[in-house]
Parts: sequence; structure tokens; C-alpha cells
Amino acid sequence: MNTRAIIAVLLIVLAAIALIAHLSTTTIEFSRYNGDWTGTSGLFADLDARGARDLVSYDDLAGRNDTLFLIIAPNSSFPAGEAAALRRFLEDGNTVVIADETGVANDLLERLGSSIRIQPGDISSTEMEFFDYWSVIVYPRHDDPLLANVSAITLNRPSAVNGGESLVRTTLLSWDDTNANYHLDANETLSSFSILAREPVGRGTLYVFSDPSIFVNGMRQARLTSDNAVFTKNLLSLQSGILVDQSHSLTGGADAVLAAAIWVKNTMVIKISALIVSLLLVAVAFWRRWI
Amino acid sequence: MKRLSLLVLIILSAVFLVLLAPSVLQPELYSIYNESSTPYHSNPATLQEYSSERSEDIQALMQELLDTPQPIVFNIKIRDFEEAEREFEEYREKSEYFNDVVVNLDLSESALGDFSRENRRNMDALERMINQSAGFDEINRLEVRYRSEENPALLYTISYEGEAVHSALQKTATQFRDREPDILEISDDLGLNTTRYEEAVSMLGEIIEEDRKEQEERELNRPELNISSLSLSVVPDSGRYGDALLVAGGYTYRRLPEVTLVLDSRDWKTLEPDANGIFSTLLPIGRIRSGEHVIFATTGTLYSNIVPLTVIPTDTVLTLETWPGDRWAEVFCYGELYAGPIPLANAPVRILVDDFEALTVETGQDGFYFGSVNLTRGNHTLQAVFDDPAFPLNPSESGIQAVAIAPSVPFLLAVSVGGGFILLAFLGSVWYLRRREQVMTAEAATFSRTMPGPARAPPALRSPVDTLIRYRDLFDAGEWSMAAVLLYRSLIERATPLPGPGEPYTLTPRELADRFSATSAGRPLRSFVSRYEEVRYGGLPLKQRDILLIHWNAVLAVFEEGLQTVPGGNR
Repeated sequence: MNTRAIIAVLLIVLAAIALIAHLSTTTIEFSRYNGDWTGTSGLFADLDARGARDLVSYDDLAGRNDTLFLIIAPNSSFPAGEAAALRRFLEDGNTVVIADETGVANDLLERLGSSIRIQPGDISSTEMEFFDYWSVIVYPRHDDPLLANVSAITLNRPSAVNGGESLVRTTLLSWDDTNANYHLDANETLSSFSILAREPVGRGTLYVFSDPSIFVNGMRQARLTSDNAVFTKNLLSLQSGILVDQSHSLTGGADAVLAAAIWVKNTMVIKISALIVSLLLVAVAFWRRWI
Repeated sequence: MKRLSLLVLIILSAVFLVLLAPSVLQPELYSIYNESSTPYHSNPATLQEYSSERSEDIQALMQELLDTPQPIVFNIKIRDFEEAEREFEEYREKSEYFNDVVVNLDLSESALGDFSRENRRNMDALERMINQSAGFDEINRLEVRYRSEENPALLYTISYEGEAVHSALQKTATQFRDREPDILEISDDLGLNTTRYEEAVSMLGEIIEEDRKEQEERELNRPELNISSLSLSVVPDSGRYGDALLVAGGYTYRRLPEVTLVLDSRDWKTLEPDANGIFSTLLPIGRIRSGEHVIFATTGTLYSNIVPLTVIPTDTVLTLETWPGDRWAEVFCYGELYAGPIPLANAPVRILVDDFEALTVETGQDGFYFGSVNLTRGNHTLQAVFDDPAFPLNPSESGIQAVAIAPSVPFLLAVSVGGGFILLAFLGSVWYLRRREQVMTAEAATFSRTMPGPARAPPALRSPVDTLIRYRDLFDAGEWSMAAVLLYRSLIERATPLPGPGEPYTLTPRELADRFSATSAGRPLRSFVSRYEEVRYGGLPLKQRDILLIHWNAVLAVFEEGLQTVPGGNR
């Protein structure tokens, strides 16, 4: 190959790297493919390191034991069959953690027979990590393996939970900023809000946490005075096995191109076919002396 | 291969252009602040670190504020007013700090704000209570003294005064007690322990009860005064603020040199009776507390009858207006204080900022008051309050004025920015003038050779070859405009004498061309000027073998050959 061809190939390779880098990421909130501050790529790196697996079908929940199932930032409703499978999973003695601030998971909670409900809102507090009422610092109120060595957790624009046994609460000087005007109005009363609630379902335990934002990269990388990292570590160590929902969660979000790439990556036949086509193209290029 | 590389580059360029297309209108591809917040969360990297784990501190402070009345009331009970004052000062400081916290955290509309306001009222009540209790204690001590001095008149008056002070104390205590349910409700909501506060309220009741017993005993022991021939009367026997009561008396047995009027056990005025022994004066109702008062006349060992009089309280009306002050964050406050139709003179008006006293001003003779306060950045409330118990007037509060102090541009920053602009403009002007001067110098250098001057010998003409060398230099340097000027000047140098009057350097290129239009140089000169204008004024570049040079050569050739007149012009 002459110099021009080498330069051309280098350019093509560099461009391809840039293109792949661009297309392999996304800015979708909570997406595991989002490496920006709104994404959960850091959390999923930790989950991968812990050997966590994506749950492809809720039928796969059957027969599990000593397993934690994470539903982070759910964005769609759960069919009755999936709720029933999840209930059986809990009754078998496993653990489910739902982190939701929108209330999307309330239907699921009802179907699970839980008394816990997510109360969507903008919980604000004078107990704040940053100069921002929405960066609420909350404190454990009861012992739990999730809260071992956790003295405080910093949230980011959380909602609240009702029902169950409240494990973590805001201080009394907190309020629901119902009109999101970043101001405590006369009709907004000071109160302590529950943020993490626990409830036994069968032999298992259901946790509901009203702020999935603590798992985003921005919060994980922020310099905090509270023990968010310990809390996350406790969460990932709660059970020996970890399953992560990707069918109803924003964490599985991807743009069209990325989604196609993920589909290809996750489908073995297509993966092999793509490899063969690529090799054929290279061979043809050499054969025709294009390169 | 070449075509393939080109194709690949074109495709890649197209792809990247498509990818960048959405950002064309907003070329700022990324800024940490333009995506600092989403509906789910805020970017911690853009937030100012604060780490305010203050809820416990605030609650502890509120608990202290709730507990503090107890030791103050206890000290009032044991008559240790100095200690009560000291405790009160600490209480005031804590209250002000708490109020600042509430304002800074923008919690004025919350239960914390309610707590702060109720606390402020309690603070005012406790301050009055300390003063009134100290006054009542003073009356108790005076009673002992007058009893030992066997002064029945003063003992008599002091029992009236004791009643008035006790009545005021009871009123203050009632106000304090009446707030208890609200305080308890707020405190319960905020998880505060109200035990000591309830003790304070209870202890206050005991103090009032003890004082009532003392006062009743004093009234029981009030001496009966012998009616002497020194008489005194007050007409009418009651009045309101602004009224004047006539105080008159007489002693007809002999002429007294002077008579002292004693109002509420204190010497008020000394009068000289007239030849008939009659004396009189007006008692204007001004700065005197409302309620019962007693007055009698005395001289030597003579005492008049004791005359009770009543000062009836009048409602007041207080207004407040605000206006931006002369300086940033300064706010002017003004208003009027009236007791019915009467403007209230020399009365203290307290200006509360965010429920705390920031300033006390005094009304003028027309009831008008004025003051100014400096506020911090943010939203504030201002209210004027009149509640001086020294006046026989019911307290009044103005409406609440909301004031927002916008962040100011720091003076130094404003001056720096302004100065920076001026400096930049100055430097720009200097640069422009210098550049212009260089151009003028270059032009003048060309011109100077043709400039007539009495003391200067005419400069030698630059030869066409020299001109061409210089032209080449300018052309190579990209100074096309200057190169064109150089050629034009070389023509002007050779354009004398002009056909017609005047000097060639005073004409525009077109005028010059017109002047030569009737000569054989007319056509080439007009062509030269046409191209010259394109380069000189139109900013067009010169080419390697530009027609400007060709026309210049043509004009020079005509000048060398000598001008010929062309019949009918050469247009």
C-alpha cells in the first residue's frame, strides 16, 4: 500500500472509532449507556463487576433464591403476569428493590399486595447537601442491612413513599414543593417524609426507594458528605445474585441506532452474520485492490 | 484508489455534517450549565457546595427559644430583674439569629415563620413584663418607705398607681397566655418539647396572682385622708390624648406662697396661688399612660383632697410607605401616625424588617416620620409598629410592605467593565489613527514630490522603473490598494501643467480624468481611473498582469509623447 492508502485507512479507522463512540452512547436519562451525569453507566459497571444479570423475561424469576431484583427508574406498567411472577419471587424469600420517583411503580406495588405507595413530588428540605433545597439529606431511622454504616444519604429532587416501615426519613424541616417554585409557600407544610420503606412479602422483602437519582453518574461522582457510596455498596451486597430489570426501566433506554446495535450484539445469529459480512467486505476490498 | 479515498472522505464528511447539523443554530456544543437540571434531578457539579445539616441546629435553637421564657419569668418571680434583663438580652440575640435563619432559608411562610412571629410577640411581652414588674416592685418598696415616713397622701396615691401597673402587667400576661395554644400547636408540629414553656405560662399566672394579693392588701391598708381646707378639682375628670384637663384649687385662709401638684406620687408642677388663694393649670394629655391616675396638691404639711382622673386610650392609625433609597439596598420608610384626627407628635415608631426591629424613628409635630434601612439581597417584609405604653394610645401596626432587593453589580466591577470598554475604545482609536497616519505618510511621501513649496526645491520625479520596482514590492506584500495609489501618484506627478486651472493633487481621480478628456491621454487615463477605483475603493485585488498596469503604461506613453488635443473630446 502506498502512503495515500495508509492515510486513507487511518482516517477511516479514526472516523469509525469516532462514529462508534458517538453511536454507542446516549443522553437518555438513567440509561446505562449514558456516560454523562444523567446516566447510570457507573452503577452498571459496578453491577457487571458484581456479576449482575439483565432480566430478559420475568419467567426467569422462577426458582430463584438469595437473589436481589433491581427495578431502577421504571417507565412503563407491569402486566399482571409479570407482577404475579414478581410476587412469587418475593414469596420465595428473595428481595426486590424498586427505586421510583414518578409513581409508575404504584400499580405494581398494588399487585404485589404491598401497602407502600410512591407519592410523586419535589421533596425539599433545609437539610441540604448543596445550596439547593432539592439536594435533600436524609437519615436512617431503623436498622437494616441496606443501611449498615450509613449515617446519611444525599438525594436529588426526591419524591416520598407512604406505607410500609419507614427506614429513611427527611428531617422535620422538609416540605413537598408542590408548585415546584423552589420556595416554601404558606400551603406547603413542614413535615418529615419517608424516603425508603420496607415491607415483607411472603418470605421475601420489598424495598421502595423514592429517588433513583442517587444512582446516576453525577451523584456518584459528586463530593458528598453523606454515605451514598456505602448505601449503594450495601445494596449490591444484599444478596448473592443480582438481577436487573431492563424491560420496564429507563436504565435500558437507548437511541434507535444504539438500540439496533444492542439488538445485534444480543442476538447471536445476527452477530455471526455481521462478522462474516465484514470479513467478506475486507476480502473483496483486497481482491479488487481497493486497498 | 484515489477515487475510493475521495468517496470515503466525502461520505465521512457528509456523515459528520449530518451529525453536527442539529448544533448549527446553537454552536455551543456543551456547557455544564446548559444542562444543569432535568425533570428528575439537578447536576451536582453545577451546584454550590453547602452541606447544611442544620435541621437539628434549627430545632435545637427553637427549643431554646421555647425554653427561655421560663428562666426569665422565674427571675421576675424572685424579683431578680438584673438577671431577668440579662437572660432577656440573650433571648433577644437568639431570636434575631433565628429570624435571620428563617429569612435566609426563605421559610417565612412556613411553621418556622409562624414560630418566629409568635416568638417575637412573646419577646415584646416579656420585655414589657420585666419593666412592669420592676415598676410594681418599685411601688412595693415606696409603699414601705412612705409607711415608715408616715406620709398618708403618697401612700394613698401609690395604691392607685399600684393598681394601674398591676392592671397593665395583667394585660401583658394575658396576651402572653393567650398565645399559648398557638405556640403549643406549632411546637407540637415541629416536634418541640413544650414543658418549660408551659411552666413559664403557669409561673406567670402565679406572679400575677401574688401581685394581685399584694395590691389588694395595699388598697385595704390605704389610709383615710383628712379633708383639709386645701381643695383641688379636675374638670373634666377624664380625657383622651390631645385633651387638656383643668386642674384648679384654692386655700382661702391665708395666702400661700406656692402649691405643688403631685401626679401619681411624683411632683408634677409648682403653682403660685393668686391673691384670693386660687391656683389653676391645664393638664394636657400627652405622654401619659392610659388608665387611672391620682393628683393632689400639697404645701408644707397641708394636703389637698386626692382627685382621681382617667385617661382613656385612643385608637391609632399608622401608615408605612417604602421607596428605593439613594444607595443600593437602601430603602426609605415613611408614614404617618394619627390618634383619631390628631397627628401624634414625638412618638417612637419601630420599623420591623422581617419581623425584627431594625430602626426606631420619631414622629414630627405633624405625625410624619421618616427613616431608611439597609437590607440584604433578597425578599424582605417591612412593617411599622407603634406600641409605646407611655402614650395613652392603643398600639397600631401598619400594613406589611414587601421589598425585594435585587443583586447589585458591584461598584468596582461596574467601574472595571466601564473602564475596560473605554480603554479598549481608546486603544482602538490609537491603533486606527496610527494606521491612518502611516497611510497618509505613505501617500504624502508619494505626494511630496509634486507638492509646491516656497522653501523646498521641486523633488525629482520617480522614474517609471523605480515606480515599477516599488509597485512589485507592494504587490508581493498584498498591498494592492497602496500599489494602485503609487501608480496614480506617479501619473499625477507627470500631469502638470493641468489643462485648466488648479493643482492635480486637489482633484479626485475622476475629475483628473475629466480634465484630460479633451487630450490624447483622456481615454487611457479614464480606463486607468476606472480600474484604480475598483482596486482603491472597491477593495478588489490586483492580478499578476493587471490592466491597471497596462492603462498606466498607456497614460505614461502619452505623457512622454506629449499631450495632443483631441477634437470633440475623448470620451
